[in-house]
Amino acid sequence: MELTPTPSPTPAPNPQRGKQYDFIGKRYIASAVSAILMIASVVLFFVQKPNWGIDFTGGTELLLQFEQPIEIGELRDALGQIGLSDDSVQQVNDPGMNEFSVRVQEAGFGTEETQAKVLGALKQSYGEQWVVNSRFDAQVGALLVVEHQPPAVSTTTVQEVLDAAGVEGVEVRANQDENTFEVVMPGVSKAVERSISQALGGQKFKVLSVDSVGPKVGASLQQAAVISILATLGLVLLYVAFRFDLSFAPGAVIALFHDVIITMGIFVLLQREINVSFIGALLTIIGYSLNDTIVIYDRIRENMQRYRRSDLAGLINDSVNDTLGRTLSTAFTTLLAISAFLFMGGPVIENFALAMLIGIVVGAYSTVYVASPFILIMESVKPSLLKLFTPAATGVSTDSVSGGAP
Amino acid sequence: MSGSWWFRFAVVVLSLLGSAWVLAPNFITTPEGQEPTGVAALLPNTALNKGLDIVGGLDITLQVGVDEAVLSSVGRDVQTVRDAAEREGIVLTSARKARGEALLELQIGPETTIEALRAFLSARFPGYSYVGSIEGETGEWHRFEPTDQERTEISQRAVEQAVETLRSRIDATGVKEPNIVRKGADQINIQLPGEVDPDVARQLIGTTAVLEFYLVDEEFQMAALDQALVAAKAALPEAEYNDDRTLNEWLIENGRVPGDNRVMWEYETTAGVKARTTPYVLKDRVILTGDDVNDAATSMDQYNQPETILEFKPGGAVIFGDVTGENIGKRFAIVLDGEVRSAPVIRDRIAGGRASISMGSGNIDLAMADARMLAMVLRTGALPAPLNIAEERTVGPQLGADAIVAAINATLIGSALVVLYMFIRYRVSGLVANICLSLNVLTGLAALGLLGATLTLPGICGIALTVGMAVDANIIIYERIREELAIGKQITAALVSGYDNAFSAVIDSNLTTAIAGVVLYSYGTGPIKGFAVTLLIGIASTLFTAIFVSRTLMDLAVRRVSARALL
Repeated sequence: MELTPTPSPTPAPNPQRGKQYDFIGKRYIASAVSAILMIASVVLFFVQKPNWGIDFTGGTELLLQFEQPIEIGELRDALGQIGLSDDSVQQVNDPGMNEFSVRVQEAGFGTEETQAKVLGALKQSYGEQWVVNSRFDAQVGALLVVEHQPPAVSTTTVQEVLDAAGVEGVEVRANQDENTFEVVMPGVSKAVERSISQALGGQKFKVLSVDSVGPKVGASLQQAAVISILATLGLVLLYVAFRFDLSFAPGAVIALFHDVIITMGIFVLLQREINVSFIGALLTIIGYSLNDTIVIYDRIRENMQRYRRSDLAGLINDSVNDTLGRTLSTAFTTLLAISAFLFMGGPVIENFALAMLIGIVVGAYSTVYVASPFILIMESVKPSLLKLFTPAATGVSTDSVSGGAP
Repeated sequence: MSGSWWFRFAVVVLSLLGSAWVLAPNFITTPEGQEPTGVAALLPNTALNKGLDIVGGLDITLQVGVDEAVLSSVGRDVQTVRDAAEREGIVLTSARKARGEALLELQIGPETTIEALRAFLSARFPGYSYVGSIEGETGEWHRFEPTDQERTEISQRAVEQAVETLRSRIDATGVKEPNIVRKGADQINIQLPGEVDPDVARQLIGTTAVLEFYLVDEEFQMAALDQALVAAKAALPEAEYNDDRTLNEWLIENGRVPGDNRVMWEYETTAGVKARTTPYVLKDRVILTGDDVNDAATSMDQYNQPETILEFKPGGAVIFGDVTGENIGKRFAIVLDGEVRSAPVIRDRIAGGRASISMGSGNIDLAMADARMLAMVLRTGALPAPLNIAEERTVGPQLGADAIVAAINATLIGSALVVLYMFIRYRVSGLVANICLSLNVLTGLAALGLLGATLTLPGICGIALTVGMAVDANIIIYERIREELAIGKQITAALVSGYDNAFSAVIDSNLTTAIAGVVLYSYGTGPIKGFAVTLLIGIASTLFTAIFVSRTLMDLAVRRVSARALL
């Protein structure tokens, strides 16, 4: 797919250009700023702790819509009564919509009472000693596993016993072990719904959506998130190394890493929820910011082939300036498209749009101030790196690497 | 205009018309249940699939208990091993599954050496490997466990079978357009669109009924059984007497009941307490199981009690016919979950392959519910392993409806702003870019329809993002042409070298974005996957419109307007 650039009719070292900005000259200031922002992000991550969504922690989240206006404080108090913390409720959308999200991370929430009822009913029917062992399994549809004394009983019979004792909403099913059965409890969402409507007494609300994630799934999603980000960065490293030059690749990846860390840091600072769609946004930011970087790299590659490379810093600065119009225009159009979602896309998409917005700004900055100057660093350490790997080779010049001298 | 230009122009027009044709079914719809008429009948079946986050619905991820599947597979193998050993002259005095572990435990008689046993197992049951022997109260147990490969195969089969079972159960509930797929090694994802009761999920995964048919050993005297049970009751602790397994072990070991017999009970529940009533001595060989059942339904028996009627599969019906034909005047027992449900006398050869299971007296509503559940489980087959809900997401239809309106508005406004900006900054070229943008979105949506991909809420956001990023390709090219003009080229030459020089930047920048898109597609679930799809399709349509379409239109524009107006 390599195209031979049309030879420029006026191969002046510096073609006629518009206003020039000295980006590369400010690279030390820029690196200091980036380093501080990245360190601050990492520190925030560990000190302030991210607001993990249930995708990663496991738990249940309900989106409620009240018929009558209700103060968030009132709802918070009601949730406090049933043992939920202050930060478990959030207003979403316009205040006028009376929409709130309620998050419960404890998988067994609201089932303690049912558990006690089940065990009570069993003991009453079969005797105190009948239940040998019981344990609670924190699945989404919480499970109570009961091991009992022989003989084996059919699940239908146990179901009848529990129904007769007035334990509502549970289902008995078989277990592979002998003399063991499982009681499937009503989901957390039902328990939360019931508790809220009791605590609020009469306030009517609708449940718009319910998300429940089991703790195991949460852990695996978290792992997958980290792997997918690292995998993307690895693939980018390879692509840039092959399509461009080895000395280009680290800069691109470090710039992307920079974008991911800082976007994450800002989200932690704002205490915005970090969930699967946020990870989706991060991956998209990687794609977008890379897009930006590649356009500048393409120009640097072209200019390297066209002009003498005695002044690499100048050449990179020229390339950044050449593409500046495009960098700003594209960042602007993408921001236009995303802002529309941020302000009027609705609550579901708002977080995603915000992450994208931050990412686009940080990405445009990192392309100019991180990815491009990094080539300079790589090119300067390259001779010594090459020497390190091929001790016999002497006098490796920087020019020998790209081989594109005119 | 050269011939090649006209050709390119024709491609552009055709892609426009093709996309419109593919997208038409979204606008010309036929009411449900009616045959499409007129134009609607001619349209392709390419209406966009809308994700659950738009239409509302239930998205459940189920975790298949593969460990339990292995356990129960070992449990089933006990009988098979026993039968095979008998045929091959290996004397097994006892065979069982270790409690709570996937281990086959075998005891051999003095005639058989451990080497012979191991040789027999490795020849006939290569899925098992010898792990050692332990001393038990009744002698030495030789233990065999499934190999890792065997475990993997059992797990995979369990997941596949669970998918099939769930599919038939969901079909039975009448939910329309369900989507059931395997996810990872041991998960199943189910999507049920529309207003679905979340309790459906619990119904789907509930109940694994084990149905078995045995023959009653009529030669065994009831008096002998009574004596045997009295002796057992005296000798055994109450708990062991009440356990069918330990009771049978004692009866056989003490010669009260022959080794190929088994005692099972009928039960009755009074005031919530279930108790044994009638004991039966059964021939310890399963004639038929629930797997042989083809269809099952509920009805009322002659006493107006609910019952489950079953019909065997052809193979099962033949066996049932033969067995009943050979045993006229004797009884057979229908055993459900280890309890004898009924033991009717065989009056005649039952050739039709039908049987019925009475649900017994008592609460008629409960009995009816039991009969229904049993019929469903028998009809769809038992689940091969327990399923647990790992993830459950419900979106109410109202939320989806509100969200899609907001998302579409946001897309339209975002796009309008981009279009305005492009026109202001690049004038006639901006107009060309905007035409490209429209065609881009159109072909992108058409590709979504053709691929049968699902449009989700983040997916719509992906389209908006594509709009923002698609113009990037135009911007790269236009900026390049401006540069070429700045170094003194004529407009036509600047156009040619602008496109040529910008080509690698456009390709590279889009391909690298695609890398992120591909990873996103494999990472994401549901809505996020939808986003990745629109992003990837957007990249493809962008390359087409920005390089091919825009070039065609610019070639036209360059002849009609001055360079100043063009850029």
